[in-house]
Amino acid sequence: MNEDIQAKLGTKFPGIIAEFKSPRKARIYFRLNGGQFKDVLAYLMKDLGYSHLSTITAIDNGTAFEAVYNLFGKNTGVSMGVKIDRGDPHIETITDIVPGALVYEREIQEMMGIKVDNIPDGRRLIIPENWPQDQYPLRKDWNISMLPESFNDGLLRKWRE
Amino acid sequence: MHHTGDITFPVGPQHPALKEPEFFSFDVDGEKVVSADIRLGYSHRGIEKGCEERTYIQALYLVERICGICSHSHATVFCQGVEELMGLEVPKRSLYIRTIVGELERIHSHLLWFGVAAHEVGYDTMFMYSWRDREIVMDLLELATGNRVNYSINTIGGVRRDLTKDQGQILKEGIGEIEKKVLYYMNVGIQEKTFMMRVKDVGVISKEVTEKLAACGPTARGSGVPLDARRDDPYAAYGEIPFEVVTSDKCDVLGRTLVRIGEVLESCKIIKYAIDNLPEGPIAVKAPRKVPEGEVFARYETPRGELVHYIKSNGTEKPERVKVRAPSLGNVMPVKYMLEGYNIADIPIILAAIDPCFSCADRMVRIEGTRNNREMNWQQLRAYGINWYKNK
Repeated sequence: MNEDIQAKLGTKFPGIIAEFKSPRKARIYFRLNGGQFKDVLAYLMKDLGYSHLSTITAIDNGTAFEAVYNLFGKNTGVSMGVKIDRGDPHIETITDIVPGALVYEREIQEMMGIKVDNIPDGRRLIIPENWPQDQYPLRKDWNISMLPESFNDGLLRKWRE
Repeated sequence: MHHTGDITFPVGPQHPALKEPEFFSFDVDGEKVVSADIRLGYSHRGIEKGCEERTYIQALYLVERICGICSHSHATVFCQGVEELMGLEVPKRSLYIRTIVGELERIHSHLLWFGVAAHEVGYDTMFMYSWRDREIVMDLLELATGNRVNYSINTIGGVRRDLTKDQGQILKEGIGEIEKKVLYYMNVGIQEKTFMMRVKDVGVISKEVTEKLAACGPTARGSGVPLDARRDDPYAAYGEIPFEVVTSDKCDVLGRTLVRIGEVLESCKIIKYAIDNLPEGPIAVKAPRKVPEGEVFARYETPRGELVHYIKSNGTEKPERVKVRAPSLGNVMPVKYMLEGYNIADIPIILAAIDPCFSCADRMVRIEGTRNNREMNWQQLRAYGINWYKNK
């Protein structure tokens, strides 16, 4: 299903569209192998009509990060995965294409620790101000015992007692 | 981005409109709001992380508790996603029952919202009316599912409770009653002049800006953006049930009110149709414990808008990642925009008009048990309270 979309993407961006799947008419999943992900995103949103950004999902599989851009339009949901290096995780902002992406970018930045380059407002949105700077709770290698003893007036110690 | 008003004034973490915590900071110039800023996170509970440590069926009960109002929405979208990953063929009867409960939930949520919105503009008569009539739908939900909130009717592979003919009949009678009441609100309540003056041309957001800021639900539909997952991306039984997507091109709080009231009437129609056309057959199929490797982008139209669960499975009995994007998070950017340029007195109603639900928008980080966990009964609690004040 949706072979025409696969063909269009393949022609426009040769060699970078990988793992294209369309298990039913209303869903498309694929990943990018390098290339400028923002060009692909802009093409999907502006030219192909998948114009609504549902969310951005950050995934940690233990060895690498991935940001999945979930779009919706023309009765079809499209998920585009972009690989991110775990050693130096960063990704370019898409707020110049969809300003509404800001909350999702702030979320992946603080929850998964993927730095969003050129984000217009990079302050914390969700996690507390006194949360340690280098801890990202949604990463696979994070667990609650990594919080310092002093966090929230010894909250953890009290909690364990 | 940031204009500087003369004075910055903080609101919160107690919500100026609803009973949930988040923090706002408004830069004001006299009475005018120049810019608004929102800080979330006060009700984060670590649910996304928690799902990764639980089996799918355990995670189902956890996601159901993300929100007290759209609990059925979270449970249904999660089930739909997992069923799609498993490749399960879910019986039609269960899909219809999910739809009926989903629409009852929508009526309950919209009537609750309408009461709150009326209260925010000092129209307490309407608040009393709408909350009184909401009790009808709460009773119907209890009849259909056994619970007033957190209905727990879903399971992976179907529903847990059948709907009998008699129950269907009572549901239809109750829905008829609600329809009458809501028509009255539409023809009398909303036409009230003082109400009109508070909601008309307040919190205006144009269609173009709504699209750019990726708004969803009645917030988008009230500005003429006809996004509705029930029609665009049919799930459960919506592909087979005729209904209209209600939109308004007024772009203000009034538009959002009209959309919600119109949706209640549509929901009534959907429920009646679903009961009359309820297919015979089983209500659930057995689901395997392990889920094959894969990913799924599941969508659902909650009372507040588009809900997304993105589930990644790794072939085990626990999910690799469950991402929840509740509609209120999608509407945070639009509400910031809507507040700018209006009076301080308009803040509560503009905020209320997106029907924000911050326990949905917040999910992840709060450590359980900020104090020592203790269980006590009512008498012990009372004695504890009296003692606490004595020793103060």
